[in-house]
Amino acid sequence: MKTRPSRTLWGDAWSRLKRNKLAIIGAIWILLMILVALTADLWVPQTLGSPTEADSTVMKSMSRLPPSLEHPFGTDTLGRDVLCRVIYGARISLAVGVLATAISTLIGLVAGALAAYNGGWWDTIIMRTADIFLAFPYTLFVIAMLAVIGPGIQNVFIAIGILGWPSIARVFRSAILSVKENDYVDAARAMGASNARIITRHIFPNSVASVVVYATMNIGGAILTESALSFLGMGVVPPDPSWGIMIQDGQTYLATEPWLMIMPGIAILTTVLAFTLLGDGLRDALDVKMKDA
Amino acid sequence: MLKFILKRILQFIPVFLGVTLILFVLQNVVPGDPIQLIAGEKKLDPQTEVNLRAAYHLIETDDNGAPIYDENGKTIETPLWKRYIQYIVGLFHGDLGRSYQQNGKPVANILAEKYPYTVRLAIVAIIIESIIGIAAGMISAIKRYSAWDVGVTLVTSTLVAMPAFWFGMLQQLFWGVFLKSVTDGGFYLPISGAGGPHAEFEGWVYYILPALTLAAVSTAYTARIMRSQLLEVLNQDYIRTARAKGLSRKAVIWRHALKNALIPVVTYIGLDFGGMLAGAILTETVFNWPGVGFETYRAITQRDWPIVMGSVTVIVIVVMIINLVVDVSYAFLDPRIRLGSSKSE
Amino acid sequence: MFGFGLKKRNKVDLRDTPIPEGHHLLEVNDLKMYFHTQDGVVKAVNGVSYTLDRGETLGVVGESGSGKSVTSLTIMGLIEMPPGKVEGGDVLYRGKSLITMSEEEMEGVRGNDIAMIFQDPMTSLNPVYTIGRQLSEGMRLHKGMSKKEALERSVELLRMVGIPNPEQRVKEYPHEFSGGMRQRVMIAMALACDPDILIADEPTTALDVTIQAQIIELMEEMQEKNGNAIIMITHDLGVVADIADKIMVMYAGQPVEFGTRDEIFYNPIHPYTWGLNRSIPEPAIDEKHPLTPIKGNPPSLVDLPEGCSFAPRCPYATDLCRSTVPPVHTTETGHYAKCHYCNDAEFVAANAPETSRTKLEGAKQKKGGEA
Repeated sequence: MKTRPSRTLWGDAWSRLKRNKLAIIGAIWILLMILVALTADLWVPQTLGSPTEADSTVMKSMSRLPPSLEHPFGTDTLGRDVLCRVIYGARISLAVGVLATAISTLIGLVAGALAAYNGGWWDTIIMRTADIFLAFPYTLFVIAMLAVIGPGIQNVFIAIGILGWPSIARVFRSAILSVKENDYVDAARAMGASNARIITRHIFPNSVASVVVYATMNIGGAILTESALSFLGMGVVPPDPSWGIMIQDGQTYLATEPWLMIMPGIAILTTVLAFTLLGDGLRDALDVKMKDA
Repeated sequence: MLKFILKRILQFIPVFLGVTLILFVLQNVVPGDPIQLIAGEKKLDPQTEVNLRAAYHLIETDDNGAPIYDENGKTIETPLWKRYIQYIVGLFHGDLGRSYQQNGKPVANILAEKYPYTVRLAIVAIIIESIIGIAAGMISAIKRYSAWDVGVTLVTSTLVAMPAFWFGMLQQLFWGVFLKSVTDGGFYLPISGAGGPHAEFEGWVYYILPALTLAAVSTAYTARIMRSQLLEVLNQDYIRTARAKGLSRKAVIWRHALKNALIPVVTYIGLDFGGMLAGAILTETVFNWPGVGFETYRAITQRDWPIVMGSVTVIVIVVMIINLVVDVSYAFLDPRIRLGSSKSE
Repeated sequence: MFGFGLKKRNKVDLRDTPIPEGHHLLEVNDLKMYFHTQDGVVKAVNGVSYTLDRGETLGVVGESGSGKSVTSLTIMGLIEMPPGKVEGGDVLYRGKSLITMSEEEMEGVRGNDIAMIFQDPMTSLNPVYTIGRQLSEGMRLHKGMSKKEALERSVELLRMVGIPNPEQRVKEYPHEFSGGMRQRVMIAMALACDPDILIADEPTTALDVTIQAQIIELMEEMQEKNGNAIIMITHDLGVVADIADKIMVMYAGQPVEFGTRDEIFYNPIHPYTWGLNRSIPEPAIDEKHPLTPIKGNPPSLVDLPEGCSFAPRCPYATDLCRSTVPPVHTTETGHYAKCHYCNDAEFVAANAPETSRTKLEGAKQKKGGEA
């Protein structure tokens, strides 16, 4: 309908992302969480210690206080400030989300690229393996895996990371295949561009967009999985302040001190929501197909 | 059509073998001797132990099930591959092995007890999901950018960002605790699947909260898929053709857009039903629901591997069958797939 | 499949009302359709006027984005509003305004009095319903036919547009038809209710060259039979060369020249039309008749240039062109153009393409021979 000033894919995407208020709110919230999580040691009181450190009488008098000015989110059974624990919990959630996604993205990218480029047997074997992984009910699979390798935060990264690769591999593979079939790749090939050049200059920039979007959303998913595992007692081990563990602790006092489970839940909700909103925004901004629609 | 189904079943075989093999290997690399898991704290005399090993097919036996001894008078351990084959052969006879606990009760019987609860819960949840999800998504798409649309988008985004178990607990808090105290015990919903895993309860009220919890995330996804599909379909050229024919907006949506938009939604709901039949571990845990998900979770924490193995095997088969049914119905709904491309050029 | 059936509207078809004195079948008067978007106001149609009578064929020619499709979608009332908005002008069908008509009345006109076929036959048919069902729909809606009657008529229509074995084909799905066959189905669908006006939006663009001629021929044949008017929208002047009675050349949302076919082909007076004429490949392209493309791209419809919209691409543009919007010059035959210099016979004679006059000579001889 009209001509646009030509911009690069990413510049164009950025200008569209800026206009998406929800995505920007999500991005700001994520940045804030990262900042708080990184600097928590400097200004948040250390209340994540194990129970032996706490004086038992203090513990008793401080146990499960309702929210007040001094303890905005109240205190838990061991007299620890819930707000502080929620803040430290952000570290674990973000770390799990990012690292697990990094692991699955890395495996997924390699597997997807191998399958798409080499085709034939590579493709069959890799994609069949992916099918096998995807045939498992996901939660069950992660739990079973953790039952085998044991709980703990490193194992949570590994389990979520390893089990997440098939979807990334699928996304990347189909992105490559669809780019590969595009006319401009044929054109580049016809002009005598080398394979390496076609991959780095044409295929990668155009398929990486979908992976970026997918990975962003995946972080939210990984945070949810971590909370579920910790809730079931198969994830992060106490006294580490995982939000999932905090919810599980709070379950006992659901009827009497509901803030114990409400506050960490809100933390999970807002964080995952922020990643979803950012992911949605990125998807709309980067989706090449939707560019001028 | 028949060819299509056969092809899908053939594709399913390697996946099935792969899944069971992974599980089988997993359970056998776990530290800990099964006999210790079976015996627990008790001390076993050597003969009982040998008999147990024979009963669980851990050592070679003769046709009567008596252990075979080698020249040194020791039992012969059955190799892993042989045990795997025995397991697969057992499957075809409906034999899923026996629990390490619960007095060695056959896994098939345990699952048969648990499955009905999971299936019933899944059916209620899928009904909620279909009705609310499709309706909400449709209205959203038709009244795009309206207050309703914004509301649906907000609610669905929130629901998918929530941990399901936390949503379940919020429901318990509101319907069970808050309403009970506000109405002075006059009105509230039960927040638990009533007692232990063998509790008998028939009242439909018990299903409300677990089903809502189980359906929450899926309903949100259904609404989103419905909305985006309908919007996409409404942008198609053939919708403009239908409008150019003089059909009203309403008629175009009901007569032309809906069927096209519903195809992927029905697919999603079908696959989701498969997922729900796999047992909703978190929902069942939060609500103490005596279904297969809760049982599997319990078995995992107690290392009762035959139950884990058995339930996952059954789950994978059920999910596969559901997927197959979904694929077939997809082909039925979409003539392009049903009729193949033999006549088009 | 759901309850929203097709009920016959108990109204007189507008088609059966006589055209009031002093009116044409279709009159478009200074029509303006703007789109209000995030980037600004897109002036997609900016002052289009023409008239059309039964049996006539109007060719609307222009590059993509010149507003030719939007004009006809506006006539059909198929522009989403918002973002679209009619900012002025009117469309009169048998003396009745289509712009102010209620949506319900408009539904009685669409597909019944005015029918439309679209560019891409591959995507213009609903993939999940049979051809028969899609053909029947309009007849059940406008003519109140039963399912059975409509299906029988559908078979007839398919036969009429030259689809072999129609009894069988009517039960098939769109993907079982080739592109050319699908466009025949689209024509059958458009003609199902015997409309007054058939709007064809680039009906042959997506088809093979060999099929293109067949489709055009079919439309002409149907016109002879039914006496309907045709509005043929195309970017290719060559397509309308044989069938159009009148041609409107559009550029950047405005008509730049309007006249009879002969006037546009053999006596064009607007530089843009000359450019289009020069862009038609001739059987013999040589130094004397070079194929000359029009340089540059159409302007942004949000931000139209001052003065004449075509000035930035016009080889003859002067400062006057770049500063002042040209007036419309109309000749006594109704041939009009929007150019500062088009009534300057000397300028026209000096710059009009060679081909048009030689063609004119040829055409005169041909006409003489026929008479």
